[in-house]
Amino acid sequence: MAIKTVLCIEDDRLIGEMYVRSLRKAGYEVDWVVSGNDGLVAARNKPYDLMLLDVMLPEQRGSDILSTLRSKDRDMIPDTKVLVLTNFEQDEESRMAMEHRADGYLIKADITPRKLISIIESLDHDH
Amino acid sequence: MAVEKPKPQIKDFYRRHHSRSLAIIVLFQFVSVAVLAGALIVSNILAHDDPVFWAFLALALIVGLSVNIIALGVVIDPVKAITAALSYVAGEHSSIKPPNPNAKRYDHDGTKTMLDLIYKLTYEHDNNSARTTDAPSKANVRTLENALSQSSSSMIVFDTKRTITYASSHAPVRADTKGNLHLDLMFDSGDVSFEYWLADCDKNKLDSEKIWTRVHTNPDSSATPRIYDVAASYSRDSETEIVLVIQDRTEQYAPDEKDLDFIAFAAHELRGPITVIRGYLDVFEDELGDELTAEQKTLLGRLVVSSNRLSTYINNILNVSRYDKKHYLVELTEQHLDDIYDTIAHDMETRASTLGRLLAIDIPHDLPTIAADANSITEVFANLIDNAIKYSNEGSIIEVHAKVAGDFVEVEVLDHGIGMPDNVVHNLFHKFYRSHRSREQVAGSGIGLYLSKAVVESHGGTISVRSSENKGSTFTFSLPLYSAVEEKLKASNNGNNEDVIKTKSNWISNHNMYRG
Repeated sequence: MAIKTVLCIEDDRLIGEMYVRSLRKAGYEVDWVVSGNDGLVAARNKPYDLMLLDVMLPEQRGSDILSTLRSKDRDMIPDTKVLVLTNFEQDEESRMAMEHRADGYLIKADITPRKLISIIESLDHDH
Repeated sequence: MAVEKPKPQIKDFYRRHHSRSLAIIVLFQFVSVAVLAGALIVSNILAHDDPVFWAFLALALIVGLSVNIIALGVVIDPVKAITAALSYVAGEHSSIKPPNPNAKRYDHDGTKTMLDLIYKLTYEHDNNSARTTDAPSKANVRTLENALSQSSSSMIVFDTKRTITYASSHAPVRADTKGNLHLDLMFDSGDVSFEYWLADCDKNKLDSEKIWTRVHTNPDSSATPRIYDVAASYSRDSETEIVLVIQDRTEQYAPDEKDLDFIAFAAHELRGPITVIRGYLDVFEDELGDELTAEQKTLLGRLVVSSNRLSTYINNILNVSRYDKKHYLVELTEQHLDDIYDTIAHDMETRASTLGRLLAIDIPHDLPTIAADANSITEVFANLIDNAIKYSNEGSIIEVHAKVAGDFVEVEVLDHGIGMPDNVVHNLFHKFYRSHRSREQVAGSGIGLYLSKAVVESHGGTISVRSSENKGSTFTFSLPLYSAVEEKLKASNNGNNEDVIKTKSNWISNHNMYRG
């Protein structure tokens, strides 16, 4: 199954717009929400192929969203790949917890939209 | 002004009764000893000036007092229990805990029957008065409801059948089709679940308390997601067997900037704009590439390089801060050195060419694999190459070579630049160290080499420099061959060999790897 639909949970408007623009240009269908609560609701309502998840979000952190959707005993989004995209340096413990639950963990400042798309394509190949 | 006499309290009865009994015992004992003394003197058994006489009297007094006081304690104990129970049911404020009628000693001395009766009568009386005097009771409930609804707390009460008998207005509960209430929380934050705790209480405890933090609303629920702290108390067979006091902490658990480490916070703020600058520069390169003149391309290249370097600096600062706090961890996995370099090759090439240096990379693909944390090693490469660019002249060549040396792969980063005198070389890997001359000539923070040393040493390797003035410098660092440390790496994961390489569970704190 190729990645086609993407949910972008990103509260920084400029960064969100940038990702959405590049992903749409590359042919992905992208929905974009700007808060933790909206993100959780969106993820529960529609089975996306990929979720781009920020950590520092209003209302709920990305880590909270991820642990709600993917707990030890159940995965509410088994068909969704999750890429954590953050500029926030979490402590090792929180970072590892998120890494284990996600399919990738990236520092936003270290990647460009082109790089992001190539990472998404490589996720596709892993599938 | 007339002072109103305080109403006598039941809890004071025991203390008064005890003091009075004690006074009587002491008085009685003195009288007894006096009578005994008189009898001894009259019967000429002992003379009043004989020391034995006084010693005997003192002994009689002490023994008599002790025996009587102990006897008093035993005799008065049921009075104490009954008074405490009466004081409790009378609603007096007291630090004395009400006696538990099920305690063994009360069963033994027969006080249990009386205590049971006191509690039973009170329970019946309270229930009757609740029924007959409904108004004040309702008012109390309303006050409690109002109080709870204006705070961010809520309360849920379960009876012994685990039915929710009370839930305040904001409480996270949902009703099923029959109108029964259910707890709408998901206890999954690595702690024991609510159900598990309850089962444990039912099996092993009479009373218990437990607090969960960061409990989320059930994700299946239609309610707006919230995050709570939950304090539960359990009291077996009580009418309110389980009471949950729930504090809504959604606002607090959302990003709390006060809690952030200042450096992490500053880095987060700096990285936002950099993400956008780097991102759109990338978009420009991609979309305008063909339309730009050669000069415009060079200018764009400079922007790209500068923003990339800014990003590296921020990572350096964060990593140094983590290293200094002993939070810096490396994840050693099997890697090809050339693959690691490839991830930053384009960036390095752009940095060098934009500043007019040539980069000659010689990392053979057939080198044996190394045990390395790929991200950290790219930072070492970037710092050493950046340094070589800074301290060399335009048009000069920067070389990177890699070869096997014993159990390590040795990497050299070599420039033909300004070099350094010997006295500078010794201090080079110290934090914030910058030679007098470099301070005048080149901008920099002096943490790149300090960090590189930290990273390399965390891998079990070494870093060194050879330099001569006006000829250039060669930085050499070594990284362990994977084959040389494979066993150690596997052993460090409790023998779970397969996982060591494939998963991310093998984080190794620096300073403890390969030492000793």
